[in-house]
Amino acid sequence: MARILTLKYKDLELHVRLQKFSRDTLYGKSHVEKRGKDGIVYQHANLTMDGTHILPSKAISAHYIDPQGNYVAETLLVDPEGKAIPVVRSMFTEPVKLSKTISLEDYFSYNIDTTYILTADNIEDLIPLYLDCQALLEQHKLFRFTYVYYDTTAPRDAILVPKQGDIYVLVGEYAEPIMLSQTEILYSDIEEEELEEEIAFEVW
Amino acid sequence: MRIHLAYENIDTVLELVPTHRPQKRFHITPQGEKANYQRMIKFDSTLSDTHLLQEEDLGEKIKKADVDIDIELAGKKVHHTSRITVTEDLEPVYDYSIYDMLTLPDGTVKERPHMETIGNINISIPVRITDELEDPKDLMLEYVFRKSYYITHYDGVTYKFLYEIAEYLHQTKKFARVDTFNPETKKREPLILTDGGRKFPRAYLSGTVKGKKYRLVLFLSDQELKTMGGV
Repeated sequence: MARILTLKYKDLELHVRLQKFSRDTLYGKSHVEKRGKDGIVYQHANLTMDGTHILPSKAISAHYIDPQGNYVAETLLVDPEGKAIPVVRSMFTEPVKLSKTISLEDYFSYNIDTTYILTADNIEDLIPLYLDCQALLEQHKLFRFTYVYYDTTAPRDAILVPKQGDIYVLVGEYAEPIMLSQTEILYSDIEEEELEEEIAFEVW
Repeated sequence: MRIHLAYENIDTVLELVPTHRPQKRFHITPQGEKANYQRMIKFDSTLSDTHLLQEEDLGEKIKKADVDIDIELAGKKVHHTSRITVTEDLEPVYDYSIYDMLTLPDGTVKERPHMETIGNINISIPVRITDELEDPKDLMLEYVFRKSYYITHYDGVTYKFLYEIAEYLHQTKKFARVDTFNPETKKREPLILTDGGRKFPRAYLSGTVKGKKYRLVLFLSDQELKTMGGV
């Protein structure tokens, strides 16, 4: 059962649930299977670079180490200026105020990664919110709130989209759109960023 | 990443740049030193559950000695590994067949021999900007857009080409459908950005201009905004 989220909306407190759906729910879940002649399904493992160890799943753990190579139990996440990135508390810990809106143009600056349907024990409780979402949509606006399922340093946004009697909650990350002039050449530099970390000589 | 794009009777190869880039963040130690992410080995196949459980009197042996821990290996740093296929006993295998398995929402399982997807946005057949125009609001209510990319110029000619497309779409206030066409099957095909990548059955292009500046964004969708009755 999905956790209960409290939305503070006008003078109301709506106790709702986010019911997840995805591509898999709609069209089926796919995976690739490797099978031998006898029909037995094989699995994957990792082989170390020197070929001496086969590492099954869960055989590798990951930790943070300091420049001297010592294990670090606790780390702090910072931005490139060294400023600490705060942890945002889960939205289930206290009521979420539903007052902010975005424009339809803003909506297209999001990449949506998770989709939900808003439900409630008494579905009629959602009717006033649905009608307000519809009225907002007529003005090319949508409700938005900060989406934090678990405590995180990377909160995303949830956007309410009314459609055919349902309120869809679309979760995604916003990126400030940019405009290009003739002299501004924009290249994809992701590959270069990935190359920043040099391969250490102690690799084995 | 590049896209071979055609509009009216012009086609050219252009740069495709993600609209969303990963934020730069770093982990530091309590002393303020940079902390690096490090993978370490816990055990290998010789101490996997499958092998350990074959031992007789395992409980007794664990009591007497740490048979489940290889002191020489545990904690060793590992940088690069290769993914291999193994049997249940963790023996490497090389002779196998690969299948794509699909479990439908009703529980039915379909299978077919594995078909690797091949990137089709930068091949000899260009991606087309069609004359099918859609209202952005209708698109928002119809599809979930997971990915978006700027289509960008690299010289004066490509700037003019893209600016004119953006200006046209800006004036119409619509998004144009973008697709690939397979001349053999005479069918539209989903956009696939890279080999082995995901298929995007719907793609739309939006355009904005402001003075001499423009923005052309390619939106990709692999999911409709709908549910299967009760989710």
